[in-house]
Amino acid sequence: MQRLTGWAWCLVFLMSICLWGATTPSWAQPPGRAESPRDAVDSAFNRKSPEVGDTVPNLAAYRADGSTVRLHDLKGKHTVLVFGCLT
Amino acid sequence: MRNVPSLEAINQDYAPKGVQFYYIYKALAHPQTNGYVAPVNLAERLMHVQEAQKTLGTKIAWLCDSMANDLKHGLGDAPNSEFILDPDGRVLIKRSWSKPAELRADLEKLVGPVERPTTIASLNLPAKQTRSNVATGVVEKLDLPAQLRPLVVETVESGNEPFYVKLRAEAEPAISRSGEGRLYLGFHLDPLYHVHWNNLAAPLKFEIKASSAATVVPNVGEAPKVIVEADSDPREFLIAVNLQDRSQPLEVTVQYFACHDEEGWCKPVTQTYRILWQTDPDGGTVRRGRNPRDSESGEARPQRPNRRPMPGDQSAQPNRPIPARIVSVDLEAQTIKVLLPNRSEVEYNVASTRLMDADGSLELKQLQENDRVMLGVSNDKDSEGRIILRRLMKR
Repeated sequence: MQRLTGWAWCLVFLMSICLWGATTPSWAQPPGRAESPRDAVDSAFNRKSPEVGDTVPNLAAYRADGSTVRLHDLKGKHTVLVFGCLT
Repeated sequence: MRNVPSLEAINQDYAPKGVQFYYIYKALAHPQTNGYVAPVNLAERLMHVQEAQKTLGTKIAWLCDSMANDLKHGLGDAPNSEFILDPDGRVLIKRSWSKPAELRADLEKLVGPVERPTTIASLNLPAKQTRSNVATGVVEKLDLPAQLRPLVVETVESGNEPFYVKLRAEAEPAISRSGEGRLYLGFHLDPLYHVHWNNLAAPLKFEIKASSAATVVPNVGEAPKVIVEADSDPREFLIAVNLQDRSQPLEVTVQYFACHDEEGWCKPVTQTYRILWQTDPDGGTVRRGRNPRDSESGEARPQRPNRRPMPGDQSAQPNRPIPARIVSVDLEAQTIKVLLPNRSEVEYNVASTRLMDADGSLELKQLQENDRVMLGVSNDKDSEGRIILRRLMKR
């Protein structure tokens, strides 16, 4: 059998490390890897938003002219709500 | 909101099919982006809604969240989430991030397809607007610690004057752990009031009143002098804090001169803010670019400049040429007025300036309005406070 060169051994070693990283369970991973901000938003949203099938809470909001409106005032049609701001 | 054009197109297609669309205006996700700063009351948040309607060109109606952020908290605390409700107000579909393509597909299933979907190009949405005609990028940005958390800031009302300047306070996490750390104070002009700093008057000053259980250093401060007559850059400070009692807020009183060009006034303003030692969960995150992490010693490593040095800056490099356009030439006074890339007009002394063009030397009288030039500034000023130009190259 042809002998492996130094470079080939390096490659095998690196692949072993990658394989270990991919198959090691989360409890065995080194601690301290923080959740990304986007993941944090996703998990908070899943925890705090109303479930599919639930009626939205009857919270108050303001129209652009300053008059008050409640979410249940919007009943009667299919409604799309999208959160946003200037930034 | 990058997805506004796609949402507007969907609204155009599905509003006639009986679907109603609303944007919910919430607390700023990234304060200071495009200069926008957090409103301090509902009237100001409604001003944001009007600004959003105007600058984004939205046809979809806006609902404005309360200042307690009830809708944001009640519907999942996400900055750009999306819900489809049935006619009884029940959630049919929810997404933590709005996805217009998926929204369109959902509506297609719910109320049927659209024969010819509206294109974004056909909406004629407004192009991005430049709001201010005063200088920006002329005041050195602070090199800030990597991890700062926004604190709750309240305004202390004193009369009917609006808070033209908003205070952003952010603390190092070490303050909540050990009571010791650094506090960032950023005084940001609110662009919705169209006010700028008057740099011909005394610079902004602040004074911090703390209880006996807190030490703040310095407890008074003054912004650096700025060469240009007017600008709208934030005035920023880092304060060392040692707290024994986090229940006692800090009171920050600020004095500044503000000008409103359209309304034709310039006046001194004194206003007070109260900083509570509580992280503001709705304070958003400021996009400051990639800040270097603090080293073990707590000292921040140098930050790469993210702006072009401008004449008059402490950091301006005299040898670095600055592009400009001639506004006027005063042969008698030996001065020129130029328009800089940040749209500010600056007057320079050119009495001893080496003037050149591609063919060689040039005389001052050969310069004309709108000529494009490169300026080599010195750090010297004449008796009138004008910067002396070292070189001028006509392009």
